[in-house]
Amino acid sequence: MALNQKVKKIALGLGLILLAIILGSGIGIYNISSGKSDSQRTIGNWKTVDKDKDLNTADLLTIAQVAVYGPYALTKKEVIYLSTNTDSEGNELDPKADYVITGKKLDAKYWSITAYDENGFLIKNPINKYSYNLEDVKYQADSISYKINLSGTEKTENWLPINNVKKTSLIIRLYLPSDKLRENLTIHTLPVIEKVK
Amino acid sequence: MAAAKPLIKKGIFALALVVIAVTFYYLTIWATPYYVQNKFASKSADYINTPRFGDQPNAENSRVIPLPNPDFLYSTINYDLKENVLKISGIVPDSTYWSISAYQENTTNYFVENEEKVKAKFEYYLAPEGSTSEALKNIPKEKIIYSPTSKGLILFRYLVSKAYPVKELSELQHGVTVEKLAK
Repeated sequence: MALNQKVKKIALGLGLILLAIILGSGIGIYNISSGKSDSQRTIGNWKTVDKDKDLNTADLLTIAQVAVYGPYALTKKEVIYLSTNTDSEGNELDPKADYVITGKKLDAKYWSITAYDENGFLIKNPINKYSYNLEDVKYQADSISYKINLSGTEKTENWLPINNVKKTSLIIRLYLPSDKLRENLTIHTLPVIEKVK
Repeated sequence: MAAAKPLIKKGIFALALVVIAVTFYYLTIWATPYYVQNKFASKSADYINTPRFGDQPNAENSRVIPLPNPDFLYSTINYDLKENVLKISGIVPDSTYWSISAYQENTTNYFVENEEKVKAKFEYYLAPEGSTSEALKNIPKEKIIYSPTSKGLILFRYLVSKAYPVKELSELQHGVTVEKLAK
């Protein structure tokens, strides 16, 4: 009887240890997939790395998130990445809706806006167009403003297709941004995403 | 006093459980980047210390590493410096963005140079941190990339642009060579 009790006690102890391991690892995996970390800065609906932090010196959680969802990113010295999965009102981007992304030229050696599917891959579409950048976006009459049509249905100009996907997200890349842009990365310098249909 | 003993035991055990849970939390988030790098490296296990040249990413050819930039041509070198120091050389395009970057085994970036600093040709020596290899003697410091881990990844980015369409850029991309030097 006493032996039976002891075996039960040991089994319970081992079970609790196993539970602690699963709980610890599970919370780790959950936090990685949450996409939230202490090194993040939010500018309107855009998310980027915090001002005084960087991807190679960030906390362990941020490093793990970047490794899983956007590995081999560069540090802020070279590139600033901004991501969003919502429009400017904070509502999740709906691939069945139509959006207009309105912005102005960004003061960087190279900048682009790219659309991705729910797994972070490029979206198959009839015009093989996945992004717009400083060279291929069609500017308005003032030569500095642009409107990009983010939509699953064909548009005549600056169409960034989001066909047949469950979810979509956008990434802005600013390669070698000017010091002025680095210091002035605000809601007013970044593109606005407006739902039109 | 005797009655308090089992309580203390239970308390210590509960504390141990918390310590185990916290340890495994940090272990998971610490180990994940190494797992990711090993997973990607295993896909090119036959090409260690050898350059691989990617086509311009599209929806069909680029479904392994998330968030590819469709404006770039990428080249990679999965490296292992246990037995060699690597000499990496090639040509830099003059009027479009280009960069060479190095990532340690947890995928974090520890080195990057771009075409604004490196002109015309590049030549780098990749060695493990603290290396005293003969191969590095008489090599200027700025040409040596010291890797914090013996394994990692070198990544080249070539921006497809009006000045450099894919065809021209691809020729430069394929001009990168890797020489294995004795450690």
